[in-house]
Amino acid sequence: MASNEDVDVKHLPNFEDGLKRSVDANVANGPDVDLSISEDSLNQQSLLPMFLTTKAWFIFTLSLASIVAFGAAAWGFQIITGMGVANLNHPVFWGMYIATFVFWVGVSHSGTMVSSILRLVKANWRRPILRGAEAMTTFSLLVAGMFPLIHVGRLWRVYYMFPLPNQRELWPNLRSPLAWDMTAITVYLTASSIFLYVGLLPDIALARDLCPKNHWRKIYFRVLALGWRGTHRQWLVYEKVSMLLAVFVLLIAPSVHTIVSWDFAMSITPIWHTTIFGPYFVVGAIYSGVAGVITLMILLRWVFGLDKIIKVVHLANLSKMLLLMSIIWTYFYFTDFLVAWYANNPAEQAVRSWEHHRFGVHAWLMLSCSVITICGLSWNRIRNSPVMLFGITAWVNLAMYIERYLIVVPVLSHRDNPFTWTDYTPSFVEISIACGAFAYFFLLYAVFIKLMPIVTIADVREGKVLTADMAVGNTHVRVYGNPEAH
Amino acid sequence: MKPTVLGLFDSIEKTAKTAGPILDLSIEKKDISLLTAGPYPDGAYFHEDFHPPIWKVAFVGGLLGLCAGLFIAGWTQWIINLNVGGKDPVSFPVVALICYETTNLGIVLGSFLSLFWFARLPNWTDLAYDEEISNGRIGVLVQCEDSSQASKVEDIFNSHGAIGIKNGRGDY
Repeated sequence: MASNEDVDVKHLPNFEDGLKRSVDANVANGPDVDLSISEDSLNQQSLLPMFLTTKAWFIFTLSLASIVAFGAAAWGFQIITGMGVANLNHPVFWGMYIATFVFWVGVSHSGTMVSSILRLVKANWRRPILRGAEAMTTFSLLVAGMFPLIHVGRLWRVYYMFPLPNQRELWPNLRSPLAWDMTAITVYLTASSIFLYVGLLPDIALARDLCPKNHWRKIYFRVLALGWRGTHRQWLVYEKVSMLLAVFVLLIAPSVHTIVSWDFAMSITPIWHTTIFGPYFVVGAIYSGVAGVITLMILLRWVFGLDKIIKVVHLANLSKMLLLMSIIWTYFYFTDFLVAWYANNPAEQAVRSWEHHRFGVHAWLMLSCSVITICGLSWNRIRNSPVMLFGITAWVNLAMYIERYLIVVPVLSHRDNPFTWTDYTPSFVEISIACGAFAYFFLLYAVFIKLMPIVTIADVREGKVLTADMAVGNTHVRVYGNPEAH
Repeated sequence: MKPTVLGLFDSIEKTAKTAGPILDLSIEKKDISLLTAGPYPDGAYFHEDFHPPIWKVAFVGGLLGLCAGLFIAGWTQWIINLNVGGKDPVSFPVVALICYETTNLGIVLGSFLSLFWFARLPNWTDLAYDEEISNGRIGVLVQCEDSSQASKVEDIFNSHGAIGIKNGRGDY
């Protein structure tokens, strides 16, 4: 059931057409750029998620908002009552909060990074998925950024962490990886937000033009478009700046998750204190992030009928990246595990033994994910099935959350001194806050879709201009133009 | 204020054919602008002799970022020294790490500012434009010396299949 907003049908005609699920299979499964799609239809399809508000969206968003409210209440309860309501105690001071933080930083990793890589290598199939991926980065970083605040407990004293000359008898300890972490995440969030906004600029201008007069969205589109007219000079500047941003965002991204890994690896703690932790974290982050991008793209296709723009070929190409990352992650995991196992260091063996005993099911669930992903995505039929891909990518993210949990908890509960060994189970408050964070991410995404174009329309349009079908004998092949060839 | 003419076309091929005749009217390239909803390769209309030094702004941003990093990580450690176990007052790996982040941030911010500067944004005044451009139409905006030149440009647009023409003044 569609409840159209009061929109000008001249500009955005007949939204129900866009919602029809009877999308031509040849179009949805066809090549990456649909050359037959008209300019009007491209605009309409791309802006559809923003202007068409279904009851399902309302129910979904309200449900998310309720979970977020519950999580916020749990956080409030923790602030008022004190950190005792979390089951964090010596020696397990890092529990679900830090595992969730690492998970969301990991998810954030891929969006902007994938977008940058695909822009830099000029992959033609990148076009429709860029915005969704970039938005994923920004929102997952916003979610991740909450967790240090939740974790420190007395968040009103968070400014103690800032390296400011002060009279508080405190010395900012810049040798602590936590200070590096805060710097890196702030930098990545700023760079990702700028990257997202620069990509949005031409599409905001397009939405400004197509939005009917007196529509409430017109006001902020007009402000945020900054007077963009799409002059050739503006496009030249835009393309150069986009490329430059892509390069430097790409330089920032791996450093962020490496620094997150150093929160662990810089301590003299068994299992954590390994040189491979940096790249292992980066690989894991890209792995879960690519899975997250695929999950979101499939949801966009299903919920907003974007089958004509986000096609099966885009998902299949992303799933090849996921397959590659799955293989690399598995290799890193076993390299890390095997060296520790072969060395037979008693402190590390104690942790592994405890992990096997206490978290055996979790560990097997996590490892089964990489087996399923590698085996499943090796089949073309599965790579071309959105339903199967949705299942696999959701499974990957569940497994990667478990992986984060297994990195944090077993090590702390069985550290060097056996008389401090303990167990840890997250409290109801911790679980509520973690669930609230998950809902918060999806809520931010759902609201963003209503406020901004989720498809990179200008890029898709450029793809149409630079793509053609060429006859070769009795068949046709798709050719992509390279503007820099002349 | 100089008169402007905005011609709207429905294909790049038709649009491109107007470039030669307009340039023949002794109108400079800087007074001609192609308006599109998506990027077209340089030369689709004519080659722009426009090379904005974006990298210079980014470089300056990077230098400022580096200075900020040195200030935050180096200077803070130096003046508020936490003297522990005979360690050096300034930890150079830390300075390098934070400088890496802040330098990159400076470059990103510099690039972002250069977008504003070289694309002449923001500009919320009513400049020559047509919302049909967002529907895939292609606009050619010409700033003319006088009204007789403007009428010649209009003739060129009409003879090459323009689907719409708008006239303005001082809104290039």
